[in-house]
Amino acid sequence: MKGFVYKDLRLLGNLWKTYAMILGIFLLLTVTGVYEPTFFLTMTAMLLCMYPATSFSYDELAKWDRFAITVPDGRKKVVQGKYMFALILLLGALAVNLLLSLALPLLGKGLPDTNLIIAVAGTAAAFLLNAVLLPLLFRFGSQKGRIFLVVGIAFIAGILGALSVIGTSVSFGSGDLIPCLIVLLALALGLLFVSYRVSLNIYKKKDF
Amino acid sequence: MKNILEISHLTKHYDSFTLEDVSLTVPGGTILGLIGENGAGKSTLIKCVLGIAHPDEGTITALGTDPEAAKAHIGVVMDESLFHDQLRPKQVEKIMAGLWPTWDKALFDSYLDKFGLPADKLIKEFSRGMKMKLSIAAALSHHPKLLLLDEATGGLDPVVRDEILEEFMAFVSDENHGILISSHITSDLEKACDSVAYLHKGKLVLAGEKDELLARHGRIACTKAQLAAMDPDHLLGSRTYLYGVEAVVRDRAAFRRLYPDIPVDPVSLEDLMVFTAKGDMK
Repeated sequence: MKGFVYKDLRLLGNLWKTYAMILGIFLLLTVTGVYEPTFFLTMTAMLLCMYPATSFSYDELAKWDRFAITVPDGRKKVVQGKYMFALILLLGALAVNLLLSLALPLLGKGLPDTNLIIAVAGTAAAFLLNAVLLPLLFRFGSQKGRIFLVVGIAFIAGILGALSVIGTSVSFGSGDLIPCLIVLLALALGLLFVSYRVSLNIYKKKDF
Repeated sequence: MKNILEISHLTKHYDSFTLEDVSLTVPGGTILGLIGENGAGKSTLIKCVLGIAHPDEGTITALGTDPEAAKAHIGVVMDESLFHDQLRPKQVEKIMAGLWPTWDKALFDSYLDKFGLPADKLIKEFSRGMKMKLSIAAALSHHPKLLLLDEATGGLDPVVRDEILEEFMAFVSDENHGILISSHITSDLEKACDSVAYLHKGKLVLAGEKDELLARHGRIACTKAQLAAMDPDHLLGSRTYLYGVEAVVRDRAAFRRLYPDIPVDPVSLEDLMVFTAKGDMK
């Protein structure tokens, strides 16, 4: 499996610079007041969660699956590799978001609690998006998967927009916020595991 | 000598094509050449062995066990490079090392050197031949016992093809190794193969030891009147031209005895293939 994960990380190597550049631009626009911190924190996770879908496109272009299946336990390892890749990206997004949610108030942008809710909710939403998207990509391929991706992002952006309103009008007790966020992330991870089992089942039966 | 690969009554249905009831074996220490026109089912057969496609009927045994269990010992080269153009051979090496328990980096590096492949160059800058050589290097570098090669020498120049075929023949000098190779370049198969199987429209129409098949069949040229006078059972296939007929006979020795006036020439694998496919099938 680690060969597959290395392959995906390697293939998207050039996109890291693009990601960092986009983050930098939007951070600047957020600090200067063009965008709200909640939008920025949502966007960081959503941007990263598109990368697993992109890796499917690369694989289809190379007809890589025909080779990948021939390695020992190939079908299972392909699925494991994609989920591990997605997990690495999502945990990376969470780390970036947590840092930013604490850093932005120091720049006078947003409240720590609200930023933290959106940061974690945004990442949890990215988990959810991948949990739904990955089985669809395994089943239908990247061409149709892009449509699901756009619909999913629009849907989640709407929910997070609503959440940001709720977040500013609801105050958590001093001990409530962190446990709630941890539960939210645990739920998101659980969904991703269920998604993994579904993808395994789909990919096991696929002919190429 | 044990069989490295056994395929028994393999059947696979698609909407517009069926691979039907194919049985063949690859004994240890031998190379089986799979010939057939485009769309005959060669790639489908190889895909079924590898689990890329699921057979509808039949059984497949590789290295004495289920092919899925034997995958660590099976090397594969497809008809085109399946590595991403954005990668370099040194990155392919790292990917392979993370996938094959028996991966041998030193062996892979030696193949890169032998085949003249730069480790640092992007694969998208490789020629078709270089990409095939990279695939072959990767297939050989995890110490497989069974090689499945689907048009693996396509796109290679004759000098390199010769070098690769020698590599394959050295591979089967170990009786615990075997190769199943499909190719349109029948001259390569004549050079390297011990046995041959011919797939035509999804069915196995001819199979056996290569030397025996080539010795048994013969090629003739005759008039239409002579053809009309022959027992059709003697003929594998024929092609009629404006001024005469060419045909391949099933039993050269018997044909000579029956028709001593008609010269019988040696036949090639290409002749067997062409006359079966394009001629009148008997």
